[in-house]
Amino acid sequence: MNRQIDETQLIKVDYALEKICKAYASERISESLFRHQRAALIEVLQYPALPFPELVLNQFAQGLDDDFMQEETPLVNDYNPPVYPEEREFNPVGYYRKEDIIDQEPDPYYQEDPVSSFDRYYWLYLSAFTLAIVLFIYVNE
Amino acid sequence: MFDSSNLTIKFSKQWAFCAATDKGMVRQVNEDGWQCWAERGLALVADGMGGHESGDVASAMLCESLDSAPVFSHLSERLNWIEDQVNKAHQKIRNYAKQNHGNKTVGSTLVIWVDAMPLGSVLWAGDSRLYRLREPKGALEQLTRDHSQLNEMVDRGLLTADQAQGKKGGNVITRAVGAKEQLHMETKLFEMKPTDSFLLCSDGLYNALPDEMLRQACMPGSTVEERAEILMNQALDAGARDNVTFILIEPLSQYRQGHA
Repeated sequence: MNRQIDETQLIKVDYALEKICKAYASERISESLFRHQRAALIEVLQYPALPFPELVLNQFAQGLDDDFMQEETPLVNDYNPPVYPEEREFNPVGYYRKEDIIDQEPDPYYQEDPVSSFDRYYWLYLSAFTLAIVLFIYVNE
Repeated sequence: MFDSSNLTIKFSKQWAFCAATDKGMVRQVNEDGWQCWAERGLALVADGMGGHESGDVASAMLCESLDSAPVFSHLSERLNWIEDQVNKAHQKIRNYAKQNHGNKTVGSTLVIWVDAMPLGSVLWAGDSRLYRLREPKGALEQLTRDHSQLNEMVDRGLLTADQAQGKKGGNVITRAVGAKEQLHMETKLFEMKPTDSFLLCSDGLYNALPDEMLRQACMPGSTVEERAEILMNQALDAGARDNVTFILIEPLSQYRQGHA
């Protein structure tokens, strides 16, 4: 083991470790992933020749929607494109999936929104109202 | 006045550990605990939660939790093992609370110092702290960051660090062993030099005394026992409203000189 700790590397590791601790505390990454990433950070300090690990800070965002995929950005190496796991690989039970919406049965208790109904017949209401005013003026003349 | 016979001193090949604990000037019960395994390079301070029932039982359970530490070749394996043991204690504390106090919260803060020269690590939950004094400048550096309501607000951008100064909420902790269903301890890695001194303590110490007094206690000069005794007496003289517990860790003089 190298007996000297590279100070610049230590600052980077310290920053990265704080990030993964916060991600773990807010349950955005699992315990096993947290430990795996922490071990990789310790190794970087002990063996400086190793490349700095790319870190996952939001493991469970993977299964939500393609629009949210960018949430998982590598922490340090921003210039390399991130390598994402297979879509929905990390999808945990309870998270919303597209299939759930597509296969959904129609809701028998569904009621149309009255405001939408008004919007749909807006021109009809307007014409009737204008006609009523014209007739009222015509009759009173 | 603190009785110096209550000090505990342990040695490893490199370090001297001097631990002291007192219930303080106001509290009737000492809910703090400490433990150190000198040869394994581990030391721990736990602060049973004030105002809750059986905080002393919680801190005692934590102090026993690392008794059987095996030897590991990798620091990461050691940290995993420590977390596993603390998690077991966490479940024991929760079961104890359920059986004896209904659903009332029983818990303890925790700070653990791990020696893996030239690396050091600290694991903690709550507001017990680890300080490091690094020569030759002799500046005292707080290595842990309290898990308190105020710090969470600063993290979320709701307050600036300046605004947080002097605001209420600093003593409201957001993490403790036994408190919530899931325990997430925080980890920090730091460089350890043979001339560094360390201070592990509960909030009863740093709330009673200014940082300068803590720094003086870590400065080499007189023996570690003398400095520990002075530090405890200063905290008691200052009115110590809470239990006071600390462990001073400093390199043995021959070790320090060999690397100076």
